[in-house]
Amino acid sequence: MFDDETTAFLMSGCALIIGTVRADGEPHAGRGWGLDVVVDAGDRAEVRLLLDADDLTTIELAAADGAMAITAANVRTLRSVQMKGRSLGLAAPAAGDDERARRYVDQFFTDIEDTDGTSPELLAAFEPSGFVACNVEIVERYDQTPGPGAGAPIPAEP
Amino acid sequence: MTDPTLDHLSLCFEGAVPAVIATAAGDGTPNITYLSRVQRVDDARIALSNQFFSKTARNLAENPRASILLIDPTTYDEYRLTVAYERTERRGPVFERLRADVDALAALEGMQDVFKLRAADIYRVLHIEAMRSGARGTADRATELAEAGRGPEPAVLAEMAGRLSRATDLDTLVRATVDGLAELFGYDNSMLLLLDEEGRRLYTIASRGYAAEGVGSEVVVGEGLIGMAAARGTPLRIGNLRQMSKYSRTVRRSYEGSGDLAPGPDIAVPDLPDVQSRIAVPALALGQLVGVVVVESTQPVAFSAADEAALMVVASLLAAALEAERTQDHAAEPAAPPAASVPTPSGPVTRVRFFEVDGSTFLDGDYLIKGVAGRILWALLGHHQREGRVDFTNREVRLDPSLDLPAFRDNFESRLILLKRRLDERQAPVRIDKTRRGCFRLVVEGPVALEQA
Repeated sequence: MFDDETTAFLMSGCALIIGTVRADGEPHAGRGWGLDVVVDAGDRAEVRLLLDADDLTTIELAAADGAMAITAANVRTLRSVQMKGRSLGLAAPAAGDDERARRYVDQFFTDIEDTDGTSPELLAAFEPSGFVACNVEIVERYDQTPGPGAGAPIPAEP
Repeated sequence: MTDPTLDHLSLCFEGAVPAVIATAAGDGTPNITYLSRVQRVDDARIALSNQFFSKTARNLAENPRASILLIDPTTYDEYRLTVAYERTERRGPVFERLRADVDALAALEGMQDVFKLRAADIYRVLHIEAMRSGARGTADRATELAEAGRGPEPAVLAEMAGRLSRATDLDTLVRATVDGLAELFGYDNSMLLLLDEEGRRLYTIASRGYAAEGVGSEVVVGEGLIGMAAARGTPLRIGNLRQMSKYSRTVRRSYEGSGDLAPGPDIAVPDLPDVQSRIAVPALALGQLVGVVVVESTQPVAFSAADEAALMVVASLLAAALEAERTQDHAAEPAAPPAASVPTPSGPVTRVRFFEVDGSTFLDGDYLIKGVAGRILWALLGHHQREGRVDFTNREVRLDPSLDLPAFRDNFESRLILLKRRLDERQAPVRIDKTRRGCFRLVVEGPVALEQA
């Protein structure tokens, strides 16, 4: 589903925003704090996503195998990819989760500091106090880079 | 802790950190994307700019609810808003306010012809959740914001008005403006640009707080934030230029990819490294644009609506003073020039090269000035070389046909001051000293060789 370059892009310090939907149709916006592509089987992929432990709504909807949209945006270039699919449920904590989150936060915050001039002190307050992992099956992907072409489906890899 | 209200979120609407919107289609498929602009409409509503997000628009047609993330750029406090779509506006004050923001964004990369607000989507805010407010309560935050948004005291404005009204000539007036903005308001980086004779360009007449004063640098009306403020006749304010420029460049690349836009020229303005906030306020007198006052800061979201209001007052006072100066100057000018002439001191020869086609003037190969200011210098140096004259009156020079000044509302005085300031900035061996009202002296410190191209 993703070429090597896109996989590397998704697993870098991209800004990650997450859309979920409650049973009554109400959408919910949240943030992700690290993403790994764990399976790529051509027409579908599976990613492991770290959620903010305080965002109970996103965690609840992820636990209920709800529909999910994830947009990854490079802070420096604003290149953005939106992935859509369904949660496969919360994942058991893995030994490397904290280290994975740390690497993500360091790169994400460094990119913001370098490009926007935001101070590390401000960003530190933005960091979640903990993380919860979930697995998400991805079946659709879109180019979400700002501009007139935003939202166009990304053609399948040959 | 009190629940947050839209009052607490005032700085979130400055566009410094991108907002996020989640929507859902009728079948329950979510969509999540960034927004270019969000503005407060009233105590219960916000407006979102609608340029591109067609999937969001389709979702809202099926399911009018949305979830929005906003960040206060000064604290990084984050808020989640649950909202319900109410209506779309394509005209009116809310649309115009949002359009000014989008125009400012477009102007950063010369996209004003293609990157336009299509509509302002109005949403009712159902709930606001403070996600990361740290230890500080929302009541404290409300107090902080109220203090920050109060703006300059009336006494400060009164002192500024006094300084401007006491200025006896244009040179003093423009200096008093940029000095007053720094000394009274704390705006350490400011520039003042005046409209040219054709109404197509703005030229810098004074600045303060920059490595180079940039006198004579030009901005095309309609281009860039400054040019756009002039064209619209309304103030434009940006609180995070680094973030906004990045967004604007990305959008521009996508337009270039689609073939809708050719690369445009860079906009030349005095440069403040790491500038984050800029506000450009047009100076209008009798409904006519006279110039633009620009204030910048390296701090994000440095200027509020209160700063904008204060600068509008200053710009109006300045515009009125400029108009008064122009009209009074003609009447007060002496008719006949004094006959004084002095010998030119010896020393190294300064080569002055003048291009008739556009008035471009070079001193010893270095560009000095062009246009009317260049023609004025050429005319003065010609009189000096032919007749040894050093003293002149505004009236006689103004009537020189080679200057090509318009018969009505000429900018002679401001062009003369521009030339004076440019010569001073370059520490040129030629300078202009004001001797009395309507009169000035050309001080030539050594021999000059005139070459016309």
